[in-house]
Amino acid sequence: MLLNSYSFLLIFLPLVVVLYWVIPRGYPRLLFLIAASLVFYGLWDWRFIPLLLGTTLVDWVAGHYLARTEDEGASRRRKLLLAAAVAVNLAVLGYFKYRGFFVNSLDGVFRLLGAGEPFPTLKVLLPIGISFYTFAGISYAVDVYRGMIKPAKSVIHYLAWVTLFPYILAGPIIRYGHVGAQLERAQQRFRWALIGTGLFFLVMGLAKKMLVADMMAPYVNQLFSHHAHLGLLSGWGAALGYTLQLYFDFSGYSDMAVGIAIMIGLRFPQNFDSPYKAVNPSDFWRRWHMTLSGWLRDYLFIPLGGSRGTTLLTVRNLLITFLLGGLWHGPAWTFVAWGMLWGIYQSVHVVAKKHGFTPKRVWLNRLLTFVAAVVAWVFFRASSMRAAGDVLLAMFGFNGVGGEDTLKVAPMLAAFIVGGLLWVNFLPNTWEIKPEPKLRYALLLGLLFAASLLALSKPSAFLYVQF
Amino acid sequence: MTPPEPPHPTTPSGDAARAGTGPRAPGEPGCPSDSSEVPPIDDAPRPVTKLKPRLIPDPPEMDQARGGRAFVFVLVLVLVTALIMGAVLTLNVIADPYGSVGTHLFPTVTTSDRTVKADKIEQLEEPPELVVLGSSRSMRYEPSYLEEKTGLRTFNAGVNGIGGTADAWAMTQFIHEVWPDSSPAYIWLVDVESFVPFEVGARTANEPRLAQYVGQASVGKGARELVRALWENRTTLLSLDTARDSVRLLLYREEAKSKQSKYRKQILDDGVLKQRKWSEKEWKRRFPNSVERYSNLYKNVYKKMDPTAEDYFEKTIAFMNDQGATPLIVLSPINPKLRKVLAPLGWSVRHKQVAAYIESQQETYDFICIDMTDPRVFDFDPDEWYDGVHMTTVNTRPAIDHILEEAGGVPPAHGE
Repeated sequence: MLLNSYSFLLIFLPLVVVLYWVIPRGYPRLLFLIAASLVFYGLWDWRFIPLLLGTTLVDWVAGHYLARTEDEGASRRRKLLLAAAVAVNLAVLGYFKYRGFFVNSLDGVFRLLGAGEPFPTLKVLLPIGISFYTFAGISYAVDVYRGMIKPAKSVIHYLAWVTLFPYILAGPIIRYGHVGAQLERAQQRFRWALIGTGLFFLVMGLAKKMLVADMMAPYVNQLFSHHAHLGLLSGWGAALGYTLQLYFDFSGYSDMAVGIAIMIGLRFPQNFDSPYKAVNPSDFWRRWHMTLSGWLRDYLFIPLGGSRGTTLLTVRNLLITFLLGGLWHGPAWTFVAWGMLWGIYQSVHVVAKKHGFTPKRVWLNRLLTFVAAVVAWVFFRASSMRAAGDVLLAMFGFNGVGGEDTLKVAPMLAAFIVGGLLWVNFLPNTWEIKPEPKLRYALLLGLLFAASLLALSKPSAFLYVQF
Repeated sequence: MTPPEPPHPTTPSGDAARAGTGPRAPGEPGCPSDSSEVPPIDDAPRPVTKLKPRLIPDPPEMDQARGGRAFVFVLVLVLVTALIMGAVLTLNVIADPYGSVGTHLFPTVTTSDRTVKADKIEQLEEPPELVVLGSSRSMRYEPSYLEEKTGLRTFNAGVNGIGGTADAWAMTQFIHEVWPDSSPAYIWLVDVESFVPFEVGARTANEPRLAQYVGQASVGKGARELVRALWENRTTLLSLDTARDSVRLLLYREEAKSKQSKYRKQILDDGVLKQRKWSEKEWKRRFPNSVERYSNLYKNVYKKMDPTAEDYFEKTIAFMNDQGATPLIVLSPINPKLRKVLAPLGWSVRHKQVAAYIESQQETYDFICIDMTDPRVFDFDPDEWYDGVHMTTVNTRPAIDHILEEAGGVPPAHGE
């Protein structure tokens, strides 16, 4: 079931929200939430429910025992337990998501060396949301190990958190210390303000997806599918178009998830904070997919040493973190290149800042950061490294100005790009708007909601669902 | 992600901080922290853990104290949404621009070949003695040429679409409804792809006169069917694109009629598709599309024969037999160049399966089967193809000759 479908928005969600508040607080309500989440997840593919429960329960068991072994001398056992929990998560993620990629890459190497038969291929379906719930599970085990959170009050609380339907498909990556702890509060009361606020976020997110991102998608797809025929203008049109499409798509999804969570009394973390207003690469990642960047910082970059060592070590840590961050998005060389590129951007920024080479003017910093992001998104979107190379060559003028047969999409796409750029640069983001229960806002949101619902006739999955 | 020198976790950054609009610092409303000055959204205290102050603030929320206004806000929002949706739905049902509901108050903006063929059948002065059935590949088999060869008054009832056994069933039923006393003979051009897993196509479902035979709803059949039609077409009816066409239809009704008549002119009174001159440019444009389309079909969709398509196939032949006809079932030709591409993708296997299946049905039903998938069995011109599957009349005529020769003519229906 897609979040942007009639069945979800007009049947599943209203039903779940009403029943959630009608059912008595405490365990009955949590059990209902688990059941609703599993139904939601199972409608994608029920066969992966055992995997979801099995993988995440490993972390619950680990957390349970980690919390009981705080005595002196148990350090080694604790480390082993944590390592085992993390290994199980990574093994599941690796098997389902990266097996094919590594086997194909090894095949490629052997083929280059002119030796060996190809490895037998095994087509494995990618369980939806696996990247999100394995990372959530890891964060739980590590946080309990570090003593940052108490273990879940019960397995019911734990399951209600880890299977939570607003996030399970495409994030944001929520940690138990944040949302799980909210589930342990017993005194949640229904308030119309929760529904009002939730609808505000839901409608804003849905409108971003249906009225902006999905409207741009056909133009962007057309340009990227003709990557070999793009010119300077159409190349930039493709790259800028995707830059904006991805932002409106993913931030739209995040807003919807936040809104749905609020309707059942939960607060999700912010995932986007006007990323295209960033003034440097570090700032960009404090604003883009904030829950992933926070996860990578806390569970990868800082354990690697963070920025506490020499510049060289910092650069090393940045490159490793972003390389793995790129690979997290998918088993493809384009994602590896995208991650490496961001690692290089960050490293260049660290060195430039240390030596005082960063531009003094804010607008120039913003422009440079934005252009760097646009170039990186080309790798993120392209179907292959070759396609990415074609688009970049076109953007840098190697294929002439217009581009064969591709400029017919120009007027509409140009309008979306100009409008989108004005939006992301000058308008406040959803989190910067205080929802007020005023009549004019209700009318405006009602109009937006209806327009978005009427655009659902051709629903498309959110881009981050594939990760 | 991993800032080298991260600022204080709860410090707003960049322009947002300068503008005072960014994430709030600890102690500001809405920002969760350990500070006791911050009133939580609900009255309950936050759990006490060793969790460091969160990096990310809670979302901004409506004032909890103004519950009454929040209720009005939600009510108005929902009502406005429902009103707009209801208005669009009503508009689209009344105008019914694609014929999804079958209100028939206005001409449709897209007239399907099913509608035109149903009209032509109703307009026939005498019942057909020979009916050609099949997909778009059959639409250029000329009734006039068949009539010349067989002496039988012929109507071409072929319609567009892959997986058309349901269409053949609907057409035979409709012809019988219009001409209940007739017993025509049949030539049914079946494609290897006629048994692809399918749902009854929107074009059939949208033509009420045919939809009734394939379990689809239409207006005029009762409230229950209307509700079902509304539900099954909900995405079309609750659509801004449809609303745009509805408005166009209401404003420019005459132009819509004129467009319809242009389309109608492409299908002649005997049901045949008007002939178009072959051009190399068209072939170069359309053949790669055939390759892509059918490659995708065999790679991703057509893994086995669909039981529903088989059901429609069998009950259509059973109906023809009941009417006293011994139909000619012809496996339709495919361009050898396309066949070469598709063979390793599964076409050869499916072809064998389909041929074996049809042969097995001869134990139960009475029909003559001719496998004409390889056009070399008749005197075909390799240049006279519009694409990978559609032949010009330069090729359909020798194909007809071959069919009649193989079958020894069209077996007359016993009812004649």
